[in-house]
Amino acid sequence: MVTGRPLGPRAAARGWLERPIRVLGAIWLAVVLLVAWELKFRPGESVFMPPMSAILGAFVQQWFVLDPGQLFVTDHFQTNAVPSLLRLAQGWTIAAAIGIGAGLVLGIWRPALAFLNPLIRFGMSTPSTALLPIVIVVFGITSSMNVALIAMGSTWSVLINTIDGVRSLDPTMINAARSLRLGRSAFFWRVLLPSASPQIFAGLRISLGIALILMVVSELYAATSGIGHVMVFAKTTFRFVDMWSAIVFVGVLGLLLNGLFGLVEARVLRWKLESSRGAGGS
Amino acid sequence: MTDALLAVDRLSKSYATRAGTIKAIDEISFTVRPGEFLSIVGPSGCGKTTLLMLLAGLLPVSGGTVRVRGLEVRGTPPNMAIVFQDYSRSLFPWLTNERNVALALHGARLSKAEARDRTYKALAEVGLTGFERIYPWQLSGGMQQRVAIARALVVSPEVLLMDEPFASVDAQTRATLEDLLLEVWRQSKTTIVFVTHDIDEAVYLSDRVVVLSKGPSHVVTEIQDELPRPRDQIVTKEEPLFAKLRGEVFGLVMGARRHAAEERRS
Repeated sequence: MVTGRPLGPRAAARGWLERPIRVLGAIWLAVVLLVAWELKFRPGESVFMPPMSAILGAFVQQWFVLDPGQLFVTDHFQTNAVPSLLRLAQGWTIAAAIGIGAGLVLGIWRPALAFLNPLIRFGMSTPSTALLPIVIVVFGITSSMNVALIAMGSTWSVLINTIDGVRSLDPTMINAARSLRLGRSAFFWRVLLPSASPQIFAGLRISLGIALILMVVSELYAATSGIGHVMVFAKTTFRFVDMWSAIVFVGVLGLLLNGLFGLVEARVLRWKLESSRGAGGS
Repeated sequence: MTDALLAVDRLSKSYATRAGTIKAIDEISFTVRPGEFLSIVGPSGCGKTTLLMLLAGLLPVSGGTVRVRGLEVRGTPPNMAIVFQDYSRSLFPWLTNERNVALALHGARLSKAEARDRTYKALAEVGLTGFERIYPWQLSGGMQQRVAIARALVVSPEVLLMDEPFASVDAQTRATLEDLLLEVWRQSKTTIVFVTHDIDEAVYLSDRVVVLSKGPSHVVTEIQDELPRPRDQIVTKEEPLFAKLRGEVFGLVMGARRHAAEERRS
């Protein structure tokens, strides 16, 4: 996905070499592995392991098309990736809303936390995939089932981190805020929430990864559409190239989501990133 | 007593710990006149910061009263402002300098323009014009403490409480900030209660120095500081009276420490 920027012949040698070298340093291992795969698994070598060129070819061809009318995606994308992405978005949004909302309440209101803490520890420690059978029974093979599992599994890290973020508010900051006679709402919006936000974001980032896992897992077992469904269906019909192409799709999706999240985080938490980088001087 | 702006009367503070009740402050009484610069010094660990938190209404008292203009302090009153020692934790890193200062005006119900004017004026008073739109952590420590002072000044407080405000900056910056504070004090005519462990600093700045004993702390004595004003880092510190006062306070602080050690031994 790296696009070289056109450079004039008189561009300073250092300037135009620096970036490609950095990019090369970051991706050389991936390139080596892809080439090794290609050389090892020639066509016909293994049924399960098609050549990398075939996988990447299928990946591009199955999911994307050069047609603006189709928004550059295939029907295969529309019928399988779109439902998956919707489930992921819904489930993760629910998890974020519940995790942040309940986390703020529990972080501020200590008695409630003491009361609910054992339950939270239990919920957090239970692998969410273990809930899959019961969620299927309750919701049936529906998108709500996938959404419910994603939401249930990815709430915990947001919840725990939000509680922790609220509770780790610096006592000096509390005193400073009190000495400024901030009202409840000003204290919440101007002090408590910004102070907790780095940890809330940490929780959201972890939960995004969990949500992606649960999206795939829940679709592997119970779905009539979606990326996970494509994987299982391809496997059972011995179309392993298609299976691999779906795996590549999920991998790329994970990378993209993480990248997008990082962009948002860098914007919202600019003060945090830059102040900790410059810390140490007097 | 009627002319006191701040009156502290038999103020006590105890903490309950697992080992029993620990008395940190034992019946401290003193008054501060309007416009006065009062310093509080004492051996380290004598509860100076605790005392300041009590004066600010940020800690509940165990006994006695703190009154500002006759009204008992419960929570920081609107005519009081505080500068904390640790600027890195009393300023909010997610707010620009301007917004940090303006936050003090939050409850004042001012128009946007007026709040902005007062904020810029307060930052100008501490010499930070041009630094309004950047963040505190982009400034040096001394400049960050200037932001904290501006945030205190912006509400035009009658009483300004300062808790070892210059303890975390280097010596040169400290001298500059001391003189800045004296200038701000002269212009604003505010009353300052200044907690410090630095005896030179207390003598250099104050009208009066209150010496506390080692904990449980009580007032050992008060010393009038009649060094001529305006004060100057070189001229004032070369005055024989400066040396005399410095020696006197030093003796009292060390005496307080020795006294406490003897008490423990007996």
